[in-house]
Amino acid sequence: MSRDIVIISLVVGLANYLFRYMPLRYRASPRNGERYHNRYISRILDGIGIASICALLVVSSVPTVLHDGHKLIPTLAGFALLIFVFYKTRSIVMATLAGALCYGLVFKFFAF
Amino acid sequence: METPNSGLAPTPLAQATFSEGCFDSLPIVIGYVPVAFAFGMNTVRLGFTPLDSLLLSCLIYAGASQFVLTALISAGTSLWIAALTVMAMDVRHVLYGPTLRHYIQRQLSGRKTALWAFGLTDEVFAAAIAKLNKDSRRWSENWMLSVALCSWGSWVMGTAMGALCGNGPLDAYPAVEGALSFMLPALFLSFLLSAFHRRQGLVLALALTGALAGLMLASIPMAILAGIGGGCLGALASPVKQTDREQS
Repeated sequence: MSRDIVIISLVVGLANYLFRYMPLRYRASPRNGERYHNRYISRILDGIGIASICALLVVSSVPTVLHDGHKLIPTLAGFALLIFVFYKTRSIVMATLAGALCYGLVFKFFAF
Repeated sequence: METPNSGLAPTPLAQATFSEGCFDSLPIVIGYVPVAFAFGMNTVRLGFTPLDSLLLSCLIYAGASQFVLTALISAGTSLWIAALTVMAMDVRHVLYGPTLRHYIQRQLSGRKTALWAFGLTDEVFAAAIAKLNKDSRRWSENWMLSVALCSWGSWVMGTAMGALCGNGPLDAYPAVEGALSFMLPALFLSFLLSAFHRRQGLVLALALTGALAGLMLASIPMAILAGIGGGCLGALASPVKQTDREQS
């Protein structure tokens, strides 16, 4: 193992850890459970969760489809079954696995 | 007519347990293994040792950034430039802590928080938001710790497998490979369905628009920031909830 890799792993790993941990530590004591009084901050924080998930959904699916158009139909089929299973079962695990299975089957049996 | 229970406080919901977290982390685990496998394989192909790739995954634990880091180092980029590039990609994680703290109603334990914070990746954050949006009273640090731990374990295990295998054992099974690579987008859609409330329609629309625009016009890290920015604008422009009016 090279010394450079050890150093860069430690430096970047520490920076990543601080990005994740320090904002949690802030306000981590006495006033737990208390909501932010500033309603603008409160509304932004309300929106960040959903917005992050939307952005991650886009960056994890769209580039693949843009790069390989054959994956569009399996992707749409997988998403459609996932939505159906989610509203039937309300289970994230079941819906995700069903969506992935559907994607694999459509990809294998319907070569577009 | 009064029921025997009338007048009593409603039974509090049990907090989610550690083992429940292991089950809930299953889609993340299945989604992480193939991506980490690809990272391990790619790193060895770029000339790093399996131990190097394992160390990067154990300590940095940041998905796409690890691919960028190894590509930059192998291309001869200065170590510090590579480190700064990756840190710039990961700085968005500072938004996750305040958002979670906004939803978490209970006292955080210093020691457990310090542990699960290490594993607060995009997917783990999305899982936590989905859990908190569904019912914040059931969220617990034990649940969070198990989701973070299982996810990290699968990432490290996937990297080790990829680094040791060296070639792609799934090359002969493109449908299986495709289904595994579809796990992460499927996971994000499930989290979105679970966390979404109808009043957040504008946030959803502007976040999707921002992310798509960022992707088409710039890069993946910019797409994430543009999506979050669009969502924040949507949150500010959305009609005020009753509770907000009462607070103001």
